[in-house]
Amino acid sequence: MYNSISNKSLHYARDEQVLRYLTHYPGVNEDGIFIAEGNQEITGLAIVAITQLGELRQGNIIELQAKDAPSLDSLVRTALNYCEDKYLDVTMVAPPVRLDLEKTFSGWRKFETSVTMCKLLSALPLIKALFDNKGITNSYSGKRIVFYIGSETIEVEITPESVRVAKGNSNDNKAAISVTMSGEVLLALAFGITNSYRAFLTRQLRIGRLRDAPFILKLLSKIKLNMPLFLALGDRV
Amino acid sequence: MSSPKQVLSDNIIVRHYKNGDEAKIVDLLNLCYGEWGEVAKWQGLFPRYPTFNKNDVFILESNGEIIGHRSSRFRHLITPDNRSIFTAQFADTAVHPKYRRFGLYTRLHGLTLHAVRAKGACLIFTTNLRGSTTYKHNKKTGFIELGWAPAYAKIINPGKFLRSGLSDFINKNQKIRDSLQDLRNNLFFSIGKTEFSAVELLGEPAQQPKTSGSRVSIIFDESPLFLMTKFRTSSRLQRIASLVLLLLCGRIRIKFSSFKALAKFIRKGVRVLASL
Repeated sequence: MYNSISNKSLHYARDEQVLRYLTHYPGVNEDGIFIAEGNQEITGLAIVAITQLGELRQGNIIELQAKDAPSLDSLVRTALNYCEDKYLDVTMVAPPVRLDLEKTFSGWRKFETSVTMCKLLSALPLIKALFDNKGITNSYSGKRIVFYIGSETIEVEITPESVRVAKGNSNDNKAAISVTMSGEVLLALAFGITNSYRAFLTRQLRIGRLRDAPFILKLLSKIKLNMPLFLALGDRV
Repeated sequence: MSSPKQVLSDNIIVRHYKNGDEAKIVDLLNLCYGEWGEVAKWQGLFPRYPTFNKNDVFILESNGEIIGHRSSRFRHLITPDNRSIFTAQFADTAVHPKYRRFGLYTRLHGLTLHAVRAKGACLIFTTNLRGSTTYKHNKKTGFIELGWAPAYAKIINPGKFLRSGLSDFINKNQKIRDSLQDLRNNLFFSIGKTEFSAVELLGEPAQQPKTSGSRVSIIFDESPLFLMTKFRTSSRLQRIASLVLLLLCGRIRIKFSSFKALAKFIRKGVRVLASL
């Protein structure tokens, strides 16, 4: 089921090991694991963990994934009934964002208790993941760009087949287009918190030759990852 | 970390987790976070996680006592077009209150960042309460704040939810605990058929008001309950503004048993508001 779902959000990887871990998560009982089925195939999964915070007994749906909205709806209803039968005080869930949630969660309240913060540790693998897509290889092949991100120098060479990303040598980059920014700005661009035009105008992003600016700004607008970041309750530590 | 143990300062060492540490770690987390949980929860969250390694848990120790903890979890973040980014997440960072303000958190933070970078993670995530000390520290040291998909909650027992939310907020805020002392025997909260006193929230046995004429009841409607979940992450101004708004909309009502109770509430209530 997980392999056949096309997610529209950033999410943590799921494999058999992680699913086995979630089914043995603290507070999960066998009767709190629900499967939705249709046409003899699994169309959804919900795992409820019962926790106690002081006096408050919570039913946390730590994992909820479904192929379609009807499966999601029936899983949420079943999980809620389970929590009511167990005399729990509150039920919480972080549902997958790609499905229409309005009907299923009418009468529920959205809430946010804390914020996720992120720091760049190494720019090279991130740049590789951000640039290695067909939209970029098709439109920008033949370009060679050197990124100066904090203390890292990274050379990106775009060919029609792939994007070659390697640690650069700052002395050998005169022919390439140079782009300088901090790790925070790269993350803000990747996560859609700022856009390349704004970063350029506020001088958070510097481009070696001004004539390359339109091309670089357009290229950087294509590295944005789809947000929001989807974190099931079981992923939140 | 190049060696398994490093001396941070007088008698304080940093080391990795070893079997037998669990109970001491959980004691520390319960001390620092309030009701964090039990050993089974810690074991479920960390040692049982598929990518867990003992070196992913950092312990600060002083004279055999665990005074600091931080765990890291490694996993792949998947983009919508199936590209994979190797990341780490810091979790349950705690420094014993007696050992704060000696720069231990900063040292632990530096060591753990170095360790996760060495393992190949290109992004590090943390979860923080907005406005907390760690949130401010992270903002200064290159972390950016991300949005995430919302969570939903359905309240089954509003009385217990309110009581637990208020208790959590009051018990983690020493100033409000102190300022409630003057009103503790006379202040009551209610929602639906559930009623409890401020004394109970402070963890003391329930008592009747000294005089029946001094009773103040704060009556909640169900709709503002979710304010409780945001209360700790809001600024003081936001907290006061939302309370005033809820009062004006009639979502929270305050009942006084006498004019004397009103006068006392105004006098002492200002202190409570200031400590929010």
